[in-house]
Order: sequence, then structure tokens, then C-alpha cells
Amino acid sequence: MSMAEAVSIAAADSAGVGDGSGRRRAGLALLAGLLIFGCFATAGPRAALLMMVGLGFGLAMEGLRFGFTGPWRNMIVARDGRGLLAQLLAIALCAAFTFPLLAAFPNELAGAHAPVGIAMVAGAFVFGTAMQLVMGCGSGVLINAGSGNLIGALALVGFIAGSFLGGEHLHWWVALGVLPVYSLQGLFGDGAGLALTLLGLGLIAVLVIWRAEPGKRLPAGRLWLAGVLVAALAVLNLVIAGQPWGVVYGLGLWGAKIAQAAGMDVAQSVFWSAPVHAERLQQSLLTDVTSITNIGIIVGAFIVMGWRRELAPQVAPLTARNWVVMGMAGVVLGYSARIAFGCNVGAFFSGVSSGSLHGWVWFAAAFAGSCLGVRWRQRLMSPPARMEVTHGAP
Amino acid sequence: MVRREDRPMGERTRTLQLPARPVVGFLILAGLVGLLLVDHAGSRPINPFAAPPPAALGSGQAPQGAHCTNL
Repeated sequence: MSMAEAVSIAAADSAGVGDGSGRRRAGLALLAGLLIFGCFATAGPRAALLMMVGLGFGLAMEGLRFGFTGPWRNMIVARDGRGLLAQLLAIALCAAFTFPLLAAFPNELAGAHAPVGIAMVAGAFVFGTAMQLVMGCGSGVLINAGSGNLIGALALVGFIAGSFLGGEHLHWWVALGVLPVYSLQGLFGDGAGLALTLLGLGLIAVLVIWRAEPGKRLPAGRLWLAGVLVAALAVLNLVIAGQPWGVVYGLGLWGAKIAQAAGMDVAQSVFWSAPVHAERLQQSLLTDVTSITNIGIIVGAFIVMGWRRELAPQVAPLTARNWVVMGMAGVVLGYSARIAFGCNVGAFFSGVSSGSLHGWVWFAAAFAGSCLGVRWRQRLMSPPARMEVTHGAP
Repeated sequence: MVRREDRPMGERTRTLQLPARPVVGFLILAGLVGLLLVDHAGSRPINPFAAPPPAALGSGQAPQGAHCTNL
């Protein structure tokens, strides 16, 4: 879809007054306003601003169909590099602002830096495989669930459980072996680190363009726009929260809160007894920056789903076997993201754009895992689910 | 609701009639509300007078949030 087509569809949608959609849209706008005001009233201005950023992510990604899993799949299966190029653009734009900000304000802002390790690489590979099974990554699961995709909803529940379990076992996995935390600015300096990051992204872009089929090389206008918007929102996330955009931590925290409410003594575990995590466990979710943006992404996708005049169809009917595969893949998705120090957002997008070496290693391992995942999806899924209508921004 | 349908190859299988997207979307939102209520019951009350400045940049404070890259 070109940007002109997207704009014309949006204009046609905007004309949908008088068929009941006007009232529905007013209700959706009210929902967003209440959410922002509620955050402001209960948790202060930072929470309200972060909720606006989260809503922005949801609106931009679902509204402009910007995602991670689908574009990787398209590149692997159909040699369609357009979506992947939009991702690289977004990361490069974000890095161009993130590196100077981190250099200028080292006491107020932090990068998404984590160590490369055995479990980290294995976790990223498994995550790449699982994300192709459920057709959703960290952000994609939130978007899909919010837009009413039943597989996304199931995967979200599994993701929450999996990321909580992964946190419980994280120290065991880390003990298998990790390198020190390396960042490109730490190794080569701020300017050279940014230059190397942009060079690396550029080289991958050239490789994508070279491998893509003619006509599937340059993103449509809506994807360029989405890439710019996502990059801008990610920079705002850093400026407001003091840390880059993330997804997995919030979902693991949700799992810990639920387990705690069910009577489990979560606070005694190695992971949740660490001061930074114990603090989050004791405090309200509305003070956790990742939880706030996660909620915003889900609600933003819900708003886009309701805003459209014609509802997208639900996924194709699933067999019992498909349900089991999807549920297990959701748990694996969350577990592997936790031991890999992030998903496509926290590790790939934020890791690379803030100079972490582990972001690059994560990308290589997860993309290799995706190559396996697209094959497994064909084998594991029964015919009805293979015909699934993939909607949203997986 | 459970129904039977024919696959192209003639194999019979059981599939579920799936709820529409708005139904699933509302269920997810209801789940979020439930999560926030559970959280409210088990967490320390938020002190509005201790709310952080609007933005970390320029606040003079070290970032206090947790991230998936934290060990």
C-alpha cells in the first residue's frame, strides 16, 4: 500500500460519520484520554507521558502495519525486503539520537546494554523460531492481542508466563557463561560507535536489497512513515523514562504480580530479591515504565482495530493441535526472551540503537532461528491455520 | 461452539467457532483492568508527592526503572 493509498483510506474512514462509527470513534478517543488522565492523576506526569508514547507505538505500528516478524518471514520466504529495510531505517534514526544523548547525559540516561552469553545466543535463536510460529514478537504479541487477534491473545498469556519463568531461572542460565558487557561506544568511543552502528545497519540494508527480488526492495511510503514515527517514539521513551524502549521486563513483572497474588512467595527468588526487581515488585505497575508502555501499545492497537470502519476477520479456525502449539510457543517466546536479555524490542531495536554488542548478536541468532521457524510452522500447523489471515503488525 | 468441517483431503476434524476481534479485544482490556486491580491490592500505594519529574532527561536523577537487559 502506498502512502497516498493509506491516506485516501484514512480519509474515507474519516468520512464514516452517520453509520455509527462516529460514536464508536468518540468512545475510543475518550478511552485514550481517560487512560492518559488516569495515569497522570494516580502516578504523575511521567506516567502520563509514557502512556502517550505507548499509545503512539500501538497506533503507529497497527495503523501503518509496521512489525518485525512478518517482514523477517517475508524476507526469508518471498525475498521481500521492504519491511526489514523499514526496521533498519527506524533503528538507524533512533541510534542517531540515542548515541549523542547517552554521551551527553550519562547520569540520567542508560542504554540497553547486556552481556553476550551462551544462553543469550541460544535464547535469541529459540525466540526467532517461536516468533515465526505465533507470527508475533515482543511488540507484535501486544499489538496482535490488542487488535483482537485470538492467537495474539493466547500468545500474550503464554508470553507473560514464560517471561516470569525465565526470570526465575535466569541466573542459572547466565552461570553457563557470559562475556563482559560490551558496547560499541565503550570499545571505540561515542562517535566511532555511532558510525560503526550506522555502517553495520547500512551493510545489512545493502545485503537485503541485493537478496530481495526486484519490486520488493524499497519500502512503501507508509513503512517509511512508520519507521520515522517508531524511531521518534523510541527516542521520546529514552528521554522520558531514562532507558530505552522495552517489552519483556514488563510482561515478566505482570507474571510475578499474578503469581504473588496467587500466593507464591515470589520475593524470595534469586531474581526478584535483587534490589532493582524487588522495588518493582513492591511498587505499583503504574510506576514501571515498561508496563506503562506495554499497556499503551495494547490499547493503541485496540483503538486502531475499533477505528477502522470494516473489521478485519478473525484468524482462521484452529484445530486442538494448533492451539497447543500456539500456547506452548507463547510460553517459549517469553522464556527465551527473558534469558536472551530482551526480545526484538529490548535487545534488537534498543540494544543496537544504544550500542550494545548483544543487540547485534541477538539479531543474527534470532534471524537464524526465524529461518527454522518458518519451516516448522509449515510442518506443525494444520491446513486451516496455514490459511490464517495475518492481521496487524506481527 | 464446536463444529465439524471437511478438509480438502476429506479428513474430518474438530474446529472452534472463534469469537470476533472486538470480543477478544475487550477481553484483553478486561484482563488488563483485572491485572491493575490485583496489582493495586498487593502493591504499595503510589505517593503522588514522590512522583518523578516529567522526564528523566534534565532531572538530575539516575534512571530508576528496570529493563529486560538487567540481570
